[in-house]
Amino acid sequence: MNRFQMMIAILVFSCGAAGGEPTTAAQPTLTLAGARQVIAAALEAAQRLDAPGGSIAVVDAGGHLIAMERLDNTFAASADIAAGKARTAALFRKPTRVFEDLVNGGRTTMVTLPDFTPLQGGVPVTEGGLVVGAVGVSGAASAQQDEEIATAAAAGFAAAPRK
Amino acid sequence: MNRLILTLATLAAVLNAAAAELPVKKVLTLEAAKQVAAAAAAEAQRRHARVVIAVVDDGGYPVYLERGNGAQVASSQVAIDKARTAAIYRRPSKVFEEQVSSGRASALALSGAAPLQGGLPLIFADEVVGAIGVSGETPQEDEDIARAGLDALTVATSASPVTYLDHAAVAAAFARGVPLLETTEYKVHASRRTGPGQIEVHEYETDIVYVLEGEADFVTGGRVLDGKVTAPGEIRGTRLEGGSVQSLDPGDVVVVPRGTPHWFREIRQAPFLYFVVKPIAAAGGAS
Repeated sequence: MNRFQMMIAILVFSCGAAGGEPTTAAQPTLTLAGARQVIAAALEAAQRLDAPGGSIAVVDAGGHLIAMERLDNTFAASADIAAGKARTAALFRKPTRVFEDLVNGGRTTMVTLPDFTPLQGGVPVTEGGLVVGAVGVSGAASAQQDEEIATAAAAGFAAAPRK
Repeated sequence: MNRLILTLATLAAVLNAAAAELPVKKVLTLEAAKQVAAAAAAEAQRRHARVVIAVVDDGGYPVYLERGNGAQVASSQVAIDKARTAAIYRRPSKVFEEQVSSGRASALALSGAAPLQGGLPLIFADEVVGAIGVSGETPQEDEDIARAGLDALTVATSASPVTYLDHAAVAAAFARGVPLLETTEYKVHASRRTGPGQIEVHEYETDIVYVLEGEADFVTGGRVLDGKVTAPGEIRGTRLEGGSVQSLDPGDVVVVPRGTPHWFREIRQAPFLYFVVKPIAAAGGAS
């Protein structure tokens, strides 16, 4: 048996052994009640920071909207932008600030990614170390404040008592 | 003066005249959007339907959205699409579904339209101020649920002197503990408490309370030591001297005359649901 054949044999053997491994894994999902907790924490932060308005979107781990609220007098486009930030944070499992920094730092090609919103203000929502969704904020006083509210919302959810 | 300058001058004159007479229209608030969605959600719950409810403004942009647990994820976008269609074309989205189904395939080319039943325009003072879109169940069910939301807005903004509040709208209000009706002469609240409140004094409003569910310790009278004015005629505080405690149980009625301090000191059994009617004395009528 040459070295290549031996490697194949080992590979086949280990694949066989993998047959006993679990084929599915439990993934916690954000419920509507959970999404509302995230929004409540965002609204609290918006009030504390004296935000002039804001759209807050909460998505699940697949980037699909669970809940969204646009405060009175917040510009219309912010609704879609908030959802886009949340979706990007959920699908990449990173705050969107990371991508804003990358793009501004010279990696302009990144904007060609499909369905991608590299604007700060999107933050993953986690439970037990797993990303269960994300929150996106747009339409506050500045991009900086959008992110501050989103970060507070995700932290508020993490700190909320669980049933 | 050459022709171009003349044209510009005419244009400016026309614009100035128009600016003076721009029409004013009402906009949908987040609070109204939530009321509409809550009524639709109550109807969905009654039917055990799993749906997404979206409310958009008159330009078709989302104001509020909620996806009920277990509703298909694709419905989040579809609900927004249906609502946008109803908002920007100022008619139920069903109209386009019927056009396409009956052979007018060209309706598929309408810009920004989703020809799917389940989107209804929200109309206030004869103008479309937004729309509600529902997705997740059958087309007819989606529209029926959307209509329950629409009815809530019609009730809340009705010009008729008689107000009829459908049981679904009332149940939805109690589920969230929100006002049912507020006028300059009286307020009607579907109140809900899960914990103690602040000490309250209303200078103009008398509280007439009817307890529906739960148990609470209610303190009335005495003197507020740290009262702050939070709104015209509204005083709130956290420390009360004196006063008497009354246990409130379902079926009890309590009347707190205006100017009397009162305080839900403890909720012994939550949720504590109570129906409140608040006649407003003349001095506060305008506020």
